[in-house]
Amino acid sequence: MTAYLIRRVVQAVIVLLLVTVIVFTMLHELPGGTARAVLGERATNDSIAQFNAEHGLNNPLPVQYWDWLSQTLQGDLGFSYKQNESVAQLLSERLPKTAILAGISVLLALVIAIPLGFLQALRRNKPIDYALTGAAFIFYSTPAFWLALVLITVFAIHWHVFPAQAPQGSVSNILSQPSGLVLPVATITLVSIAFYSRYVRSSTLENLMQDYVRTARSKGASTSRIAVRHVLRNALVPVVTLVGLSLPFVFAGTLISEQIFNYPGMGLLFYNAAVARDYPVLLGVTLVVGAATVLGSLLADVCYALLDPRVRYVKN
Amino acid sequence: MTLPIPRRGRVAAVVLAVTLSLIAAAVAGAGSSHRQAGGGTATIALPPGTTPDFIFPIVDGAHYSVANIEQFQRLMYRPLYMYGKNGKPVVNDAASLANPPVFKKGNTQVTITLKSYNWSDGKPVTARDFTFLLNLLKASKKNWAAYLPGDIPDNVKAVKISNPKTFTLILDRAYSPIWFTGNQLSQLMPIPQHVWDKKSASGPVGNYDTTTAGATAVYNFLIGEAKKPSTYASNPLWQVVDGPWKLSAYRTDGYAAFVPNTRYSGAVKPKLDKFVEQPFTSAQAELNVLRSGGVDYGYLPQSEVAQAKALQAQGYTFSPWIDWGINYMPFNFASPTVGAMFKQLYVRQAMQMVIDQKGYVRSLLKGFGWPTYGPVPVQPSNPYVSEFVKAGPYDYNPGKAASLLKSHGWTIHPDGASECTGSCGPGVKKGAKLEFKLIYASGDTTVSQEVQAWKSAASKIGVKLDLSEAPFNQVIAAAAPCKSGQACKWEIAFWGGGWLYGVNPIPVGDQQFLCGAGANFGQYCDSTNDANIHGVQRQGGLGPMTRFQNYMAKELPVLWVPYRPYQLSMIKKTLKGVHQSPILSLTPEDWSFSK
Repeated sequence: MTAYLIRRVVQAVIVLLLVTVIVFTMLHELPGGTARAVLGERATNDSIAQFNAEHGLNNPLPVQYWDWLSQTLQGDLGFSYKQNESVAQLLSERLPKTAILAGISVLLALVIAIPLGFLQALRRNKPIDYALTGAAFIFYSTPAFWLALVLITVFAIHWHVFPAQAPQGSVSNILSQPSGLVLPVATITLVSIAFYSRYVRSSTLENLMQDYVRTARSKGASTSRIAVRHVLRNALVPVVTLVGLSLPFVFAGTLISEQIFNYPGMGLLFYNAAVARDYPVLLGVTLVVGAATVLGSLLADVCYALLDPRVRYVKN
Repeated sequence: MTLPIPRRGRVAAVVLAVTLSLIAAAVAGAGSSHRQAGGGTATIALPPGTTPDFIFPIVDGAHYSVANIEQFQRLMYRPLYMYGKNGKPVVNDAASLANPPVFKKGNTQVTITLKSYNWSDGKPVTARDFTFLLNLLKASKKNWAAYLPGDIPDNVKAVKISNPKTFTLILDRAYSPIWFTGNQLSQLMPIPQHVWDKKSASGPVGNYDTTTAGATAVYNFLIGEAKKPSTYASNPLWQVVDGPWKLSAYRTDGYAAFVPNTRYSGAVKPKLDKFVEQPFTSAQAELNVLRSGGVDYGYLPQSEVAQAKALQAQGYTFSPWIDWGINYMPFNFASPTVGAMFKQLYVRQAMQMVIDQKGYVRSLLKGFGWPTYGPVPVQPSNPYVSEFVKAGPYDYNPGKAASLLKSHGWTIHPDGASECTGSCGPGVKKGAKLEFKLIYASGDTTVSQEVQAWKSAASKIGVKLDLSEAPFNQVIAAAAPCKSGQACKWEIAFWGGGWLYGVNPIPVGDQQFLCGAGANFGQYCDSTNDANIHGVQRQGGLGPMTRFQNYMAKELPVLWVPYRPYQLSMIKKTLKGVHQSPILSLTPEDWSFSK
């Protein structure tokens, strides 16, 4: 397992580097110049030339990439062209916010989806299965922004039960105002429950057909023991993979909720940087999301091996 | 095979109980409210993407914005002359740091007397604070977004200090008092020399600014501090102010909270306990909070104007914020393919005459907007606009536009591209077609509707417009002055925002219409126009301004299109004293809550 982990880490680093090269190249191929995008329509030719010179934008692309990479390896992610803040500072402020929102949403979705999916499988083709399947499809196909607006209209504007915006400020401020997180978490959770419950349902059904269930029953195991000790555990294996691959979402995937609920997180940071051609920020976010993706995939594989004793990561 | 659900009630019950208790806990702390205690706290909603992020008054290009200068810095540091009074773009004497300037010796000298203002640490604001600023500007002018070669500080040959409150600027030539006060002096915010004239945080204060090297070192130190926005509310440097407000809290998402400067020397003292600028990630997010009563001074997105009545019933006043600007689409006169056609005045006139500005205001802007007829705005009411421009020389008249083209050798092909079959003007070859590429900014429904409407009207006289949409930044990047040796592909551009005469309130057009000016994207160049612009800058009275704008209105260096309000404000009825300055500056010291 140790050798496997080391191999995976090396692979992850290579993948990350490749991702940064691709993103770096694509960014610089975008039409329109960075200088004018940052300095605005009042920029003079002199100020544009000065901006390009100061930020090395006149250098060949490989030189620009090497400068960025060597700076990053020394722990300096650069300074935002537009936001008057270091990239590291921006990430350190926004990442925890997105992680809180997405993390709570994913966790809550799993807590609800796993029993629901399991129930649906155990009660396959019964009215409860149909009802929950219908609800899952409705929420899964509902656009997140529309759901958010409906929740705000009902719970914030008409009934004044929750605030219309998410909590503002630092992480401690956010956590001290849980009421403000209810609607944004609900928006993400309701869509995610549908996603996870369907996977749990189909995985459970698949396991219920396995020979080991019949064997366990014939050996006298009780229904509850079969369901919880055997079927559920095996049914969760694909869910573990899904959760691992959700890590990038936890780090940067809540753009819609951030926009509707006034919650500046990583999604908006990336979007605004893309519009403003703010390369240092874009590359910083890419690095974070790339790292989250490879880490999530690695964690999923490790958990997979822990859950399923048949899986062993050995050479050949 | 199906299995009975083991302990089926328990799992569901646990989930339900947890969910309900979360909701109950949340409800206990739900809702937003601000209790008015004493003067109260007023919260203003900032438009998305326009948050303050730069506190140092020498602003670079990336941060040169209304959000930073008019709505952040000027709350703390007063300029010599602040513009915007009673909804007009004129000097606000009460908010200005200095008494009206006195021009003499043929307008080659101007004497400025500072009012008896003190800094918040009790030290007086003096001429030394002004010379400190000027010295830093000289050392750093290339980094100052407002710098234009030949303008401040280049045009100040010397400063003669008569006493701590009075100084005279010896200028390099005669200047129009109107222009020099509005576009030069109003940009200058004296800064506290006794606190800021240092080269490091721990170093002593000195007179380092009196040498170029010293001024550069001081500037670099201050810029370095300005690049730490998370320290804006705590860094002692930024706590010494002469404006009515002090920054008490600041977040890098743009949230800024101000408390009154108790030592403010100005005539109008703050009445509120606190003033908050609340950033929003989107107009929709702001609208949601507005509808729930969470801001005192918000705005309606133009597409949601139908909600104004409902919000008025909730206790808000609907008040469009009329700002001081113009809107236009530049032609690319340097285009190798179509530049020659654009250089023909009759072509520009014909294209202008198929833009139904009044119709667009009525139907697309729902009445919230006004036409642009020249470089001087017709709204708000102002002393600068001429009667000729107010009347609008080119009304919507497709018939006249078609006749104009025909009389200059064009064969009109409605719904196609008209063709030059006669003598169409210098550089326009026979067979040339009236077909142009128009790149416009995406994400704005009104912009999109306007270009579609124009395309439709233009097609009737055989002017074919090939539309392409791109993000705003891409449009302004694409619509750059063409350089020789580089591809020059754009023909007409429309970024939708036009030009705001904010920090430079005198509408002289030197940045957009002078030959070679940085924002003269289409490279329009006319020696008469240049002479007119210089006349506005150098000659007294409003005569040169009239000459300049009438010429521009006739010559059509760009296509004029409707301008719309900065925002459709919704202001709580209990919040009194709000005057919406056309320069977009905020004066919350005028505000108070009624009981």
